[in-house]
Amino acid sequence: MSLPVRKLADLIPRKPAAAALCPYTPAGLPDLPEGAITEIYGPRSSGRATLLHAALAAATNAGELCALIDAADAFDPCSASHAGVHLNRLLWVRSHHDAHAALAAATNAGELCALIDAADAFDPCSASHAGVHLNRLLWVRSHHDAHDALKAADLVLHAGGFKLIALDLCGADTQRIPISWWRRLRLAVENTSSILLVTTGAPLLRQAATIQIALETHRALWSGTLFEGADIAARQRKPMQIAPAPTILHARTK
Amino acid sequence: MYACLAIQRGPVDALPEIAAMFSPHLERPSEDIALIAVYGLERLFGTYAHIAETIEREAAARGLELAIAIASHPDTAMLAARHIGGVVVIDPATELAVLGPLPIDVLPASLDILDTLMRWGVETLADFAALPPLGVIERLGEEGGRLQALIEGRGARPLRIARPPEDYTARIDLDEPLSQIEPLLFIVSGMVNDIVKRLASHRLAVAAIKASLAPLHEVRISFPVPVDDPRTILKQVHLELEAHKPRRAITAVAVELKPTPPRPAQHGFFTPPAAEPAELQTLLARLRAIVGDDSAGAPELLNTHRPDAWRLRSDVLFEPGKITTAPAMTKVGFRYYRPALAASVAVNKEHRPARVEARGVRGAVTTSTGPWRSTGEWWTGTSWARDEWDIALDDGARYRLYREHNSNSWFVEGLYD
Repeated sequence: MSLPVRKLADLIPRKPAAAALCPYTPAGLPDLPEGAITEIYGPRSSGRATLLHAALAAATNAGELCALIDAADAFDPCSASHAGVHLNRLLWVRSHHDAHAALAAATNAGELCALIDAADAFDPCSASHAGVHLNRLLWVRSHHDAHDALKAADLVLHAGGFKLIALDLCGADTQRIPISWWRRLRLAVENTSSILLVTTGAPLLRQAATIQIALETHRALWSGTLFEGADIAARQRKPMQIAPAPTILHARTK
Repeated sequence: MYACLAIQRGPVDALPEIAAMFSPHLERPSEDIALIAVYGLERLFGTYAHIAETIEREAAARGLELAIAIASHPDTAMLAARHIGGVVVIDPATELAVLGPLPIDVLPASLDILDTLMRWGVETLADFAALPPLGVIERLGEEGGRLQALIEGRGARPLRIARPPEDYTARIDLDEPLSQIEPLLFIVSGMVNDIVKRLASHRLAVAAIKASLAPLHEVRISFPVPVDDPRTILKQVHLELEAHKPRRAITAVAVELKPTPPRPAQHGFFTPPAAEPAELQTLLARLRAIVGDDSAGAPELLNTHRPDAWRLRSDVLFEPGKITTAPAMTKVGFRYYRPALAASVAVNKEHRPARVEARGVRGAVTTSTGPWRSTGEWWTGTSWARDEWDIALDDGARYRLYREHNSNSWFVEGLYD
């Protein structure tokens, strides 16, 4: 007598295909599906932070709790607040440690310090400017794998209670993230009413993302002595469209 | 029956001792007054007049001169002791006869009510008691009814028993020093469970925990909301110990819990649910164990023009949400480089940036606006003085540059994204 063989995928309850959609994106872009991952990627100044702030503003204005996992410690609360984000409903997790302050304090106290530089991002010049005594520092350079940010995102997803969880990997070295991490995060967000929004410099998530939006650097508006804003060209890559014409969004500084 | 002891002359400190000689049920409305329950003392001392005489005698032996009043309502007894003096025993249903001649301004009422009564021409407590109760309640509210009942000795209220401050601490000296966290937590959990049970019996929750791990280590955790679940407290202690392990073996453990009234939980029916504060606190502790202290919380902008001025709040987080309207216009986002990137900037003849080289940022400047001069807080240690430029490089990326006045150095502050 043989035991029935079942696939692991059959044992995991799946969310129905028709997931609820939340209108947290500017007009012209697809709504964000609950229980799924949405990926936004693009080069510098292509509007990644702008769309991220717009999504956070829409969600916090709807009274929802949001979390931002900030891998590069680049979030600007002031411009986010200007964009309408209710900061008192946002959990900001800065996964990039303020190494300079700690090193400055320790080296100023006469301690010997070792810096294991996972992001390979240590800048001795600015560190010295921040008060780090470089002659008391051992600098060990290695490659950053954004694991802290992914662990934090996993924790927040499992804790529940957050509607929009933004994982901002722009500026972090994402090349060494194992594909299994995305599978893990996808399983964590499935069957919940949370939205996982990932912003990166280049497409990373492959099959794990339900919606993928590619951004391109577009026209900036300079008026006399003022930088007044920029247009954002957004193209929906997933689900595939027959003729993916870019959607042009207008973002302004004021 | 209740006795009110009001000090006329003598040391205030002796009053609780005298009151405790006659009853354990003691209320202290103020320093010079003690209210005690005297029912049941007749078997020991005889009539209430005898009880009052005995109290007076004991007080005199300790150098205290007391005004003593005994009545069926504690507030009536207090009124008589304060304003009649000597020894007064008011039998039930005779309160009005005893208190009636007192002027109206002795009533423990608000100034508004006293003013109203005086304008009505009410001069004594007897005048006030003669007013129709329904009319008094209609005009002065429930407070008016309460005051009339007080004069007539109607109604009842229990004494607000003054308890000595409880000590919610526990200490264990270990036979053998402990260096592992798990057995240490086992000991702490027993202590925390015991103290939380004591707190719960007094209808109290925990606001903070301080665990002193002799000889050197100390764990201090404040909870943003009152916690009554010992598992939540222990999880926090566990995560804190994991994040900051004791450097030496532990020889003694002392735990102190700070009590606080429990949290009333009532949220709006149609508002999105708020996070469970205890779970949120545990999540924050777990996140801090990964990303470090002071790296997780709700951002709050500071009231200053200093660039990048904010702080992370972790004490009171996430009230129940309100639904509001998001701005219609999309705003340009900004990303900071923290710390700012030291840059080498070449300027053209007009002293505008022409080429920028920094770590990961390199190119010719195609457009620039500025300089925007910004200075401030020169009166504190956090002063800044700089010229800002918004620039676009030949790769299309847009940055904010600044030149520090003090060091004359250039930095890339961040990226418009």
